[in-house]
Amino acid sequence: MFNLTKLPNIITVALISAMSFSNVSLAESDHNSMGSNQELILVGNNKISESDIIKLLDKAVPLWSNKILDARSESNPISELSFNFILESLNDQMSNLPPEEATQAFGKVNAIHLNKKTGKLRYVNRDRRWDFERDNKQKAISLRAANEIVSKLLTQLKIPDSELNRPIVRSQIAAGAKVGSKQPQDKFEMYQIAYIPRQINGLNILQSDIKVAINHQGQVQRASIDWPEFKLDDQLQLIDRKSVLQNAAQEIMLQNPDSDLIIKSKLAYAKVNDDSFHQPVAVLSVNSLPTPYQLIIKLTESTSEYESE
Amino acid sequence: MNIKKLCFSKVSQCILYSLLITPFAHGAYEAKSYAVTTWDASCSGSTRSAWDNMADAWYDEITNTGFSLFGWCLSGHCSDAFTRDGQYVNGNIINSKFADRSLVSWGNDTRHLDEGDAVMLALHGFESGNDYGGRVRVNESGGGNCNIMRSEMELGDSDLEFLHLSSCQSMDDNQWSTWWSAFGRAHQVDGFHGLMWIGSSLVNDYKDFADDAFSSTIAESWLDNMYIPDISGSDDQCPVAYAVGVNSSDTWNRIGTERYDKVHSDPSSIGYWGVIYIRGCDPAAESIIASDFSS
Repeated sequence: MFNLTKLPNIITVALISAMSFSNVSLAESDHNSMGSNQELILVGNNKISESDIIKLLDKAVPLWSNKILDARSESNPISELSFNFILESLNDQMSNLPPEEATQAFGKVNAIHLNKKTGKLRYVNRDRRWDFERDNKQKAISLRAANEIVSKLLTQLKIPDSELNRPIVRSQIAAGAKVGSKQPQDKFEMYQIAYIPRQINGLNILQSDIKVAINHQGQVQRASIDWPEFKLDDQLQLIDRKSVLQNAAQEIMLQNPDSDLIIKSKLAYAKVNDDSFHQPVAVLSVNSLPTPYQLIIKLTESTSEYESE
Repeated sequence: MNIKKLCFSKVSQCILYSLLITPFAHGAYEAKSYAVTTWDASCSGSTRSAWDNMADAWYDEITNTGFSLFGWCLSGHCSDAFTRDGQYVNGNIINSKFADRSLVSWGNDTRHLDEGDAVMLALHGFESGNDYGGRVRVNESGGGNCNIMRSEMELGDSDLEFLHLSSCQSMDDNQWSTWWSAFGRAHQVDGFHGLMWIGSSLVNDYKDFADDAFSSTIAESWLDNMYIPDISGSDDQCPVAYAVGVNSSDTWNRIGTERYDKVHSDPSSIGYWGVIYIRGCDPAAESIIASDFSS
């Protein structure tokens, strides 16, 4: 017999079910309207073991020897600079310079940031910028001319030639179009930019390089020099390769590795954890789904009793 | 000796000294940062431990008031520094915070992404068709899914001027012809053509980007600090700065002069889009920049 007393409950359940179904349908409809992006796999499958990663690392990480600890730099050029000297080297001027203790100076059209402690120099002159109305039909200066201008500047700033790696010169491009166009209709050369990594003992120094942008008139429009004092801790001793690879593999295991991961590696010097000393490291470039990453793995440990600064 | 008077005198000196050396951000512009490192809530994504440090470095620098004395800004950005409007790491990062209600019913960006003047967004990125997508952390019930798509954004209709995307494929060259449609009254979006990289060794690039963008332009500071030739073998990291304007002249003037301490008025209309990039840049997961606008 049909139980009338339960009818309100049945109606309630039916109504709730209908509403839930409606919500699910709405959610699915929203989801479908955005395509199948939810199915995109953006997490590594974790189907690779630590020992397999160590094998990949062993192939990728270059060998090293005690010679890696034999790295010296004789100069600390940024610490010797002054606002006036920088302006002179860049054929520029600024009135009302701040005291030399300041780390930045601002003119009406130019600015300098100079941190002698960290070895950081920035310069920009906004009057030397690419101007659409004036420069849109001009070409960038030649690579050779750009190289010569940069070389002259670095000599003036006393950046040691022996620490300059091979420069790469690239053009900064502006491209655009009216809305509705499928691709750029206009393209302009804005600057030639020289990128120069720093090297010591045949290895690059991470976070130490030079970038200089040259305008169509052959002037330095902006420059960025990161040249911290290079010091190795005297108390460093090398860690054995097996431990280095194991440390690296453990770091990779924390990042949801994918079985398709690709590891490339080079040796370098780096400051780790804001230490004031540099140390030799393996730089690992790990291309693993979905966003690649870099790991810095120490090749040494300090034997000194006290932590470095 | 009148102890009370002495104390008052010292307090006065202390207050005066503090006023002389401690600048305040003028409060006109606000910075926000959203970063995910672990996708351990309801959306999937590989862990990337250093990502928040990169976004935080930008946030701390753009809001760094520093030190001034007698009118000289000796360090930091003094009164030009942005105010701290929110620094979010993991937690409830959901897609409705970045989507606009005029485009999707569940959008709720007005009090979130579109509330800041300059915002850093650090998420796994991908491309679907010619549409950029970012993977959020929590799958919000009732609306959207785990992704925020460019086509769900209307930037700046509330407040946002500058959006910086620390996210792969956020500015692939095949997206350039459509990114303008996500601009409400925003001025600039900065992202990457192809894959971008995460790492503790890249944290300073984000700090320097914020620092340099107060004297160099935001667009050129993005290029200078994010372009990394041969970051992995022959693969480069390829930054792109994107702006809109009424016409070409307006667009190039904006992208060529806007700094964090020199913000233009909003574009009155959008008739043109423009990008700046480094020629020949060749990243992972994409062809050489500006060589193929179809995919």
